[in-house]
Amino acid sequence: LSVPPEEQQPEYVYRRIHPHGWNARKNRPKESAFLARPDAGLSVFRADSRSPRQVLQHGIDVAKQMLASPDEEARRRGEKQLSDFGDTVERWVKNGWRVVRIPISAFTERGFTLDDPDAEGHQNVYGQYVLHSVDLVDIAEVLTEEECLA
Amino acid sequence: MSKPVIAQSDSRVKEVLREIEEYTALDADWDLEGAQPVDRGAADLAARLAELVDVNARQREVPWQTPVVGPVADGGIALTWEGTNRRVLTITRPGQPLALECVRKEANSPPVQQTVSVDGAMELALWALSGE
Repeated sequence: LSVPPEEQQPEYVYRRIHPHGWNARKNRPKESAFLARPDAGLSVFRADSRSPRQVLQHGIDVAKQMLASPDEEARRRGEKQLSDFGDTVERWVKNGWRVVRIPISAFTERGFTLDDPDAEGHQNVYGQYVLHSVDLVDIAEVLTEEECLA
Repeated sequence: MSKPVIAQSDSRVKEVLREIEEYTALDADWDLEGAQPVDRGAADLAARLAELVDVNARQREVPWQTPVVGPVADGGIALTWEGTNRRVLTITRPGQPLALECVRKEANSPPVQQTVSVDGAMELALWALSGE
């Protein structure tokens, strides 16, 4: 029996790339964009439940939530994010934020594990980031500004 | 007669040093994923490596390509050195003043990770830059 076409579709995740993680010279992410803290996962979003625009909007929402924090330092950091990059997806893209698309298999084939996505399609990837960051830079498909804004 | 080493360092590495210094001003959580501020010691070690590679590349007549500089979420600095077919990632870490994590990658070969001294990292960077 042949596999139904929809089950043959590769699965992807999106990763939001901060301007400091973007290599403008080569139009690709920097290796540092894939180096999570040792005690944390790499933050990604399921491509079948979130659009690139929603992935960027999620970052803006996080910054806005920080404004409501009881912690003064967190409020200041939230204000700085919105001051530096704006409060719309259009401004974030204009100010250098990007989104890349990565096949889930690129992680699993290298021994990474993914936790279950939450209601927003967000999940964390755990594995040998340092060893594989160079490969992930090459594998990541860079979305155009238009694709990020669609 | 050997050439004076430090005096040769000029503008081609200054941009790298400026970018490293710029990252030391980042706040905690600059990436909205819980990043730590860049550690002063990690930044200084990255700057030292960049200057060493610059000077030694001149002495050995290795072609120069400006490394890609990036802040790392744990407070380190990553420098990526790339030649035609080789790439080396060097990472300085907070609290590790003498050691760097490195990944070297040659076209069509799997990446190899190792921990090295700053001199070892410099040799790896030159290996990448000299790659045909």
